[in-house]
Amino acid sequence: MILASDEEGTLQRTIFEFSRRNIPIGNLTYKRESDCVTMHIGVEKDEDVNRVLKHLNRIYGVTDVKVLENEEVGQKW
Amino acid sequence: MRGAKLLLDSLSHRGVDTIFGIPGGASLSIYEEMASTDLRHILGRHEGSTVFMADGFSRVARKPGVFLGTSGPGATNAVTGVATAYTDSSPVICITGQVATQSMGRDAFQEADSFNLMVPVTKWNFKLRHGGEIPSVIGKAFKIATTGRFGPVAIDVPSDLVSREVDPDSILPYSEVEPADTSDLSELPNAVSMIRGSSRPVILAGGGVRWSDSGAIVMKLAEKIGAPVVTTVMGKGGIPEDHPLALGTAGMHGRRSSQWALGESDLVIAVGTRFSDRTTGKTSGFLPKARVIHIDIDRAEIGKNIPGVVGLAGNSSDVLKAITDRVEYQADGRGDWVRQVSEIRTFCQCDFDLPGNPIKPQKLMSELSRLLPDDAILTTDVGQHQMFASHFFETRGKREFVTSGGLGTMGFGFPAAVGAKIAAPDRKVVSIVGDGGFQMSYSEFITAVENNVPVFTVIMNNQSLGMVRQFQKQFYGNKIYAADYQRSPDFAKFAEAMGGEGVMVERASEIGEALRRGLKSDVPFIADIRVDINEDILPMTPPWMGQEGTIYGRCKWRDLKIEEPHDISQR
Repeated sequence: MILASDEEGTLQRTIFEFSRRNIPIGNLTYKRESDCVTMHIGVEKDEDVNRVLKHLNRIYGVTDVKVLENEEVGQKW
Repeated sequence: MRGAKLLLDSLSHRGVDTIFGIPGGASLSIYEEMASTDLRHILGRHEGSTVFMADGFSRVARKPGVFLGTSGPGATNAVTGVATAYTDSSPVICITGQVATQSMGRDAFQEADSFNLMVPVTKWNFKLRHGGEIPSVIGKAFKIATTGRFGPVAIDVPSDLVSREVDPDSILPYSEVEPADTSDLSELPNAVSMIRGSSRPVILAGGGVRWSDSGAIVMKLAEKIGAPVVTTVMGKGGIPEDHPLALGTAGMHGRRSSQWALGESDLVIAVGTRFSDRTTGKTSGFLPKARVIHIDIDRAEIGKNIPGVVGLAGNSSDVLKAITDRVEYQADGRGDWVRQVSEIRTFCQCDFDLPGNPIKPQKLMSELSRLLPDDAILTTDVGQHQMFASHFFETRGKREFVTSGGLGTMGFGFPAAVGAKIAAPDRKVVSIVGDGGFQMSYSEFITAVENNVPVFTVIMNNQSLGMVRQFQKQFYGNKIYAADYQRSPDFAKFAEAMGGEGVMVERASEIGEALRRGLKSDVPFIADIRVDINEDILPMTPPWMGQEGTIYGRCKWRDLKIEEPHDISQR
């Protein structure tokens, strides 16, 4: 789960961090509320999460990145 | 106030006095306003190379160079320049015009989605939504570009937002952006303990050492703990290479002394490096005996290419100072290591002043090392000459080395020299280029002439794409195809035709005089040095092979087993 400011570009940069590492995105939801956005991104392989995690954190505008377990995803989505 | 004036005032407020640009329909309001300011405008010939100028300026001034282009092709042409800056962490500010907001999305003339084009090659980018945003966006752009790991920021400026008056009440206040503090020194005690327990420490200095200007603290730590210092190509120039502990560049075309030190070390303190494939080669054989302390301002780099490191995230200077303050003087206790390093260094200081004709590139590097002032700035293009310079040219004293190390962009070297000279007008700026790369941006030679920027260009001319040729020769069955040029310009005559000066050199004995002329010239000058097409840049370790795959050529190390260098002093 990625929390970010609503400045244009966070969605593109987030997707880019996956695509440049050749990590397929399984599913993606994007929600904008007031001045922040929330994205949930699912990947097929657990090991891919670690490959991309730090790079998501350094995107300007991203305020928090959390890794959710499958059960949590089921509850929160 | 008109949006265009607000934009230029905002740039001036950030200390900008020079803009590198090419005008076009979508940016003409900005140019109309610029005509009545004191800003210096360097009118380039192609947007890509004009961004290289801004990048060269950034790398030498250690502050943002500003590029201003138009919409559509102005932005698409700029992408390679911005990508080059991004890969090497250079804080270029790229401002491009855009079609008017009411035309966006209608495939208007010279419309391109510049915003999304720039996303993958910038640290951040903005699309202006109204004129009142201009000062705050410029403020944020400069802050983002120059905090944490530096990087380019792009701003897309619709033409109507700068051509119109901006309602003063709509101007957004600039609130200082304070990027989150991502430093993490929690492993500092562990790192200090590792240094204390090491018997063969080595410091690997990368481009971050140059950007953070932490060369002096690197050498202080090196002297304190008795560690040789090896640089990456991007780190070259960050430390003085005439220091007894400096071993030169490592990597694919690096010095064997550096490769030896990394191979023998039990502890590598890596500073501001991302462990690129050109530095590590095959990672499985890289640092076979060493644990690694990785210092980087960008947390994402720690552990990215070399896993299992002890990471210290933060500004290199701050982290190194913290370490240096905590470790005791240990150099005497590592006397055997320091002595061995000294012997290896002496062995590797080979005589490469190769005589005879056709001219050998090593001879040219020897003459450049001998004749350039100790505060000269050497920019390179990309290819064989870049690796010859990286290996053989000595960045002693305050010399700087500016190169496109990450993206490896041909055409970078000469325009970057123009930007570097504008940033440092009192220093000699020399651009060493190949004939292939120079032809990708030599239209900017006349830009240097008309702006009175006397850069000295040394063309290592083998009438070929030398590195392509070398790879075809070594790894593609010696089938030389599409590498050699059938026709080659007379670059000395070209220089004269553009209003500069030039000389062609075909004999080794004439190099010194040509270089002296170029260094004295007060106009842009080209020394077209015709070199031996068959002289490869060796040694070379192909990135897909380990040290055992090294091709040595003339290098003395060919007769040694790299794991048994202890008898070097007897040779």
